[in-house]
Amino acid sequence: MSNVTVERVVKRFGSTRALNGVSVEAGSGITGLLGPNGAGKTTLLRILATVMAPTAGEVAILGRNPASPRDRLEIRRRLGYMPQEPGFHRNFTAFEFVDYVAILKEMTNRRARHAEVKRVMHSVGLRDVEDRRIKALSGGMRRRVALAQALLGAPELLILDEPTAGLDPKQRLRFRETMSHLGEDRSILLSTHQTEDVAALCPRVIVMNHGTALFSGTPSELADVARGSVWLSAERAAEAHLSYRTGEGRYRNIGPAPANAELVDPTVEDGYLVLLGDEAIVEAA
Amino acid sequence: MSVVALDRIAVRVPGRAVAVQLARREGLRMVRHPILWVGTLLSLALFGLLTWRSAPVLHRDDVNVAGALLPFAAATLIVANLAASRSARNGTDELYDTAPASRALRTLSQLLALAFPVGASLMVAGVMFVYMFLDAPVGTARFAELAAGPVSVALLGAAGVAVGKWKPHAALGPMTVVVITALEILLIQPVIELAGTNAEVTQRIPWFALWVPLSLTSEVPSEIVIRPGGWHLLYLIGLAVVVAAVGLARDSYRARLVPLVVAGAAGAVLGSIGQLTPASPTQRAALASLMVNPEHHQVCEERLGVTYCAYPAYAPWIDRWAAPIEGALARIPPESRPQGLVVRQRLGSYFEGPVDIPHSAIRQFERDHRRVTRLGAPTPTFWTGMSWGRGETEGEYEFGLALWVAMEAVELPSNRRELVLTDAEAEVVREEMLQALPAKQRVRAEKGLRRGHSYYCTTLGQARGLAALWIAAQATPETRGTVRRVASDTPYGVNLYEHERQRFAYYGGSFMPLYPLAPPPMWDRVQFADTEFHYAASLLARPDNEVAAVFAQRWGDVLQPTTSTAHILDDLALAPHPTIEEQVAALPDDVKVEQGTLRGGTTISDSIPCF
Repeated sequence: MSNVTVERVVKRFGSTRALNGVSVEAGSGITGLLGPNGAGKTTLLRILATVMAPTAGEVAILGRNPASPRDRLEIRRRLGYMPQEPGFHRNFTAFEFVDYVAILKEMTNRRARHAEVKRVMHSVGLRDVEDRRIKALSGGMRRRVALAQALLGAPELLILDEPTAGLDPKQRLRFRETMSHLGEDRSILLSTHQTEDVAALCPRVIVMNHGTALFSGTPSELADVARGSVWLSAERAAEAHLSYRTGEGRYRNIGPAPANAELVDPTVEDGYLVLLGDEAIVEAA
Repeated sequence: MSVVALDRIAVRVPGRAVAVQLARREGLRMVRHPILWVGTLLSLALFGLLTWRSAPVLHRDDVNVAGALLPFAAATLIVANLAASRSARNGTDELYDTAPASRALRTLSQLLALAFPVGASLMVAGVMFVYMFLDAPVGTARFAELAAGPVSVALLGAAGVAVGKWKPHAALGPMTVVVITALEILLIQPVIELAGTNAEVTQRIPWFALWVPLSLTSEVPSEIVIRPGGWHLLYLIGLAVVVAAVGLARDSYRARLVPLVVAGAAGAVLGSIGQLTPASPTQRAALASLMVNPEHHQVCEERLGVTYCAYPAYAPWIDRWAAPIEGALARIPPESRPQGLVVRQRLGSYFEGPVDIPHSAIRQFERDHRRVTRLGAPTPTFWTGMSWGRGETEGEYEFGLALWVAMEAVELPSNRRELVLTDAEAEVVREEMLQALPAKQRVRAEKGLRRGHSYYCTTLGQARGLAALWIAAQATPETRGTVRRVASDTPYGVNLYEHERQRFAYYGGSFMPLYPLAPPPMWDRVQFADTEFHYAASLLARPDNEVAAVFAQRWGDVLQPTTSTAHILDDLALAPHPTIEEQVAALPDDVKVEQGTLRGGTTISDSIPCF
């Protein structure tokens, strides 16, 4: 059963169409949202987080219609959201900030709320710095604070907009661990530029560009998009759409078969690059 | 965390519970904010500034409590504005909008959070009351006057929330404070400009301000001002409700706010009408009677032959008035103790500000005032006002009363009529008293004599001047402290100062400025001289009984105007002060002596000796 259903959703900002009739579905587990800058990922996530309403189209979240005030309130009660650029009150401590959001999430029993705040702070590895003011935290720590507040109350639907941006490798692995646990019994929708995250975490991936969904499937299906187009060679292939030297000293070429090249299994990243064509390749370069 | 615990957390709660929790969080942040602490300190400092020299009068200082809370209210505006604009300034609105608690609920909670600064303002007011109760206040505080302070805190806090919601910028809070301060000053201007006009509606324009002082220029007794405190409170509450609704209107269904706006506006309009309505003729007549016929209203008490009369609220002050008088009487030989003394409280004669006394009553009061101060009251009467000193200032007030008793005892003139000389008296003064003065001063005094009267007389060189000053100085510990302080601040004789690396010496003259030590009616008749004042201050170092014995022994001589101070110095074991000429001669060569110093001082006086 789909927890999120989006049908022919259009979102306009003045004369700009951020979403252009996008239709996607997401069930339980983790769904990755990939796409270049300006693809419409953040706009779609904001609509799903009930921050904004679509200009046209149908949206159903957790079986409810966010256009209805009563349903919207119910969705918000079952939702955790981490914006792409979460703002912070710099003079709050990390604990105070998350606790403040917890009150906004209707957690009015003070003792239980504080226990829950401590739980989420611990789950993102912030227990030691919970009494530190946010202005004294590093960028990575602040993103973890933003993630912690999204986890409050164990929401049924988690919407995370680029949650791994700014995290160091260790933090990213920790994040994957946390997400994999959470994804077992709820829906998580996360957008990212990191195809490794998608490959590692997401049973399902959606690729967006120009406000539409280009692909929806499993990571291996996305990788398969590039099957037959990824080659390893000793020399850079001039005719390749993208060619780069790997750590082993050989060249990985995406495109037509170069001479003396070995056909290799594609990765999710390869599939993403092939799917988006030159645009993605320019972005990747 | 267990599923049960999570369920408990996620239990559905009404918005009210969320608003209360948020209000608690916001309120605690507000009262911990450094700006509010600065506001608290400013309020306490302002209250101290308004009251530290005055013994507390609750039905006057209740107005000061409300006024002193204005800095606190301004600080509340700023912190409430910062709280209300925080999510927009910090970019957290997007995140908060995905939570079940709506923006309107957040605004409501920020308004509810104002209960914390309002509560804190009550505590600040409590500190002010403790300060007043440390000095036995008189009168009764009025609820409406007091409540105006915390209600102003709520009103300005609501203004801070409204501005923060509609225009979220950190600079707008302080800017709003500046605008409101300017409005406040503009609105209370008529308190000065309409002084004494007894205008009716226009006189009440200041009541559109947050706080209306009793007066900006002088100490107007609150007894002669009818303050529409209750109406003003209603006006402020109405405004607060309207301003809160403006804040809520940013993110709420505006139709729901209509009843709130209507109720607030109705309160503000009703309060405005009430506070613009002039005092009724009955009220004004009652005030006039209070002023013109104090004896109909006052309570009197006799102690050691002295009658004290006070308005009922001030009756506890009789103890304060009696202390210096009894301290002075104790050092006067029994046969010379003045009889029939009356100390009567009187409403002041300064009518600047929004007073509600009819013109006719003021004119009558002023006629009476002239009669008793120039021509003398039927009985020796000291007219005391509606205020009394506190701390150091209390010594000044006490000294005034003690000096009055002492002057009566040594038979110094008690009114101006006594300064008009007969020819025979002028002759005595010329032949026996002026000879003791320095030449230049003698010439001036003789000019005064030729006119046959003088506005002033001086006790310069007279033993009875010294006696009066000492009797007053030793009356209470406070008078002793006051005289020592004045003597130290105003050294005897030639004073030195430096200007542009040049040292100068000057002598201001023999006149010893005792104002405000000696309250009316003494200002305009007897001038005490620096010589006698400093001798009196020196005598405080000697045992009182010894000094009193000397005066008692020589009392007959002391009463004679012709008995010079020099004549009794030996008996009092006092060394004579060096003359001005001697002091000048002893100055180092580089000191420039100011013109006039050797002519008896730079201050010209046409006083004649008191006789």
